[in-house]
Amino acid sequence: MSEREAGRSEDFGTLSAAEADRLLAAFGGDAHRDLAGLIGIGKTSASAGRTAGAGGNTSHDNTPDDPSTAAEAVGRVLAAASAPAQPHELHGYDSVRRAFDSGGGRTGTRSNRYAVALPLGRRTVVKLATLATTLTMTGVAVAAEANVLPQPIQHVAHQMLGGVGVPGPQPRRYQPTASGPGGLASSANTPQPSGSPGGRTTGDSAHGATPGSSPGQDSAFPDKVIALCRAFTSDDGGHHLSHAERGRLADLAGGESKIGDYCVRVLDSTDTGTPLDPTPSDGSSSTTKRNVSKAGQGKDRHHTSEPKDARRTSGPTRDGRGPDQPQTIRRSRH
Amino acid sequence: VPYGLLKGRYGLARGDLDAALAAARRGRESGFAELWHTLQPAVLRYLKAVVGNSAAEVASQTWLQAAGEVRGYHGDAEGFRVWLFRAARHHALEELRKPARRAEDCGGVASAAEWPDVPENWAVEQENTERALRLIARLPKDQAEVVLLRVVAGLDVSQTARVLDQRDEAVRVAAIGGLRTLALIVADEQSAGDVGDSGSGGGEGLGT
Repeated sequence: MSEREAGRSEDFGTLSAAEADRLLAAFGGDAHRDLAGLIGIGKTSASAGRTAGAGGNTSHDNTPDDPSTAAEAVGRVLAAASAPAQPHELHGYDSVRRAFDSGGGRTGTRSNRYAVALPLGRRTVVKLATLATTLTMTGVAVAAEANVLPQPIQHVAHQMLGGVGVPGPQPRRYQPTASGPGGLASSANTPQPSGSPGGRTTGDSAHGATPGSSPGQDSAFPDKVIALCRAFTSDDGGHHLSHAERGRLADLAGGESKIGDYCVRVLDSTDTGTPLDPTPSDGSSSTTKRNVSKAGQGKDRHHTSEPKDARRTSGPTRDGRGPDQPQTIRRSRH
Repeated sequence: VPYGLLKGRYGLARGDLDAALAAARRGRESGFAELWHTLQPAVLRYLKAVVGNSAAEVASQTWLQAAGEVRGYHGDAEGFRVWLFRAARHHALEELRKPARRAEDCGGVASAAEWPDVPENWAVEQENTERALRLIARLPKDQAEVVLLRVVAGLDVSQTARVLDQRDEAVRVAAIGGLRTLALIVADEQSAGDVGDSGSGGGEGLGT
């Protein structure tokens, strides 16, 4: 405090400890946010003033020096500081919501990417793609056994997987899991060894007719095709592909709706395709780890922002709280 | 009108957020939205006093973390508020540690002019709030933090103690000391207004 302010403690700005207590009771925690009650604080301040200590309320009669004035003034400050939310304080939810929708993680670019590529929201897409995979697996089994492909289901699956245009975890997850049923399908009616996408194309035997039949020779895709597929599965869903390029891919894949699957195969076979999307849990846990480790570097490592941490400290602080107990417990943790 | 506005008769909305938290933990965005709209203003005000002009950015970092971790949070809404302010404080301290940070940014409160698109009728209240935060930010840092957490964030003594990793008793002392110091600051401001720029609104304090 400046000397000027200290000097004023003798006259104007004196607030007794009891008044401060009352203000805190009014504003802190479960407050009764009632200004009329606040104004009443001054009435009891004279009797409470004796706890204020030296330099306290020596002159509290009717003058501006009356301690109630100080209490009132501070009360107004506190009331203004905790005034209702104002519109400008409620800007910026969108980016936070995107982070939440994407399942968390440290979003930044990643969430923006999804925002562009996946207007449905990531979780929805995850569900849809999982469903698509399931349906496709079913289709494979059915096709393998009955040699009849449920075309509409296949179509829907293609739409969902192909239309997304993002090499998300689902298409990639599809590949390994598909090898099982794919093997089934290939033993039934498709020639290629890896056969993963066989189920999707078996029914109409368009598969066998796939130009170049490149799926069979995994790593043999021309660079040009790989590049096209990278473009197709890029963040913008391949919208920047020219009509001709898209047509070329459609030719290679055996149809516009099969480009997605085709490119998944292509990129999987190169093994250097676009990186896997992290799952939500990956994102959040890495966030946690990062924060914890970051917190561990500073001396304030108590402030790790891990949810469990806040919960852990709540026990000792809330319950049998000896004056030193919480501190002791925290220290003992490291 | 966003959730947080005009909830309750006076003051920042506190609300019962248990239902919202439960929904958010199940991945429902509406629940998370309610958490944000209810708690964000207090987070922002607290951070303004701690990191000044970086408050919005730090608040955003805080909420991005919350968005990522709320699904895994186990506890009630009261605990979540403590967790949130701990996180905010953690990010604020990180921000303050940045070497490029200029000294005058610390503890300053963004001026009202920095906030665009504020409707006219909110100007007075906003001005009052900004001034109040600016006054509180002039307290010694430990006192300012305690006052803000108690009064603006609405945390009780033990919750505040958990945010700050202090003992309850230290929080009590700092809170009372903070308010008494604040009275001096207000009086100082008031008399400065009386002498210097009377009539400019500095004199009568913040009004209501």
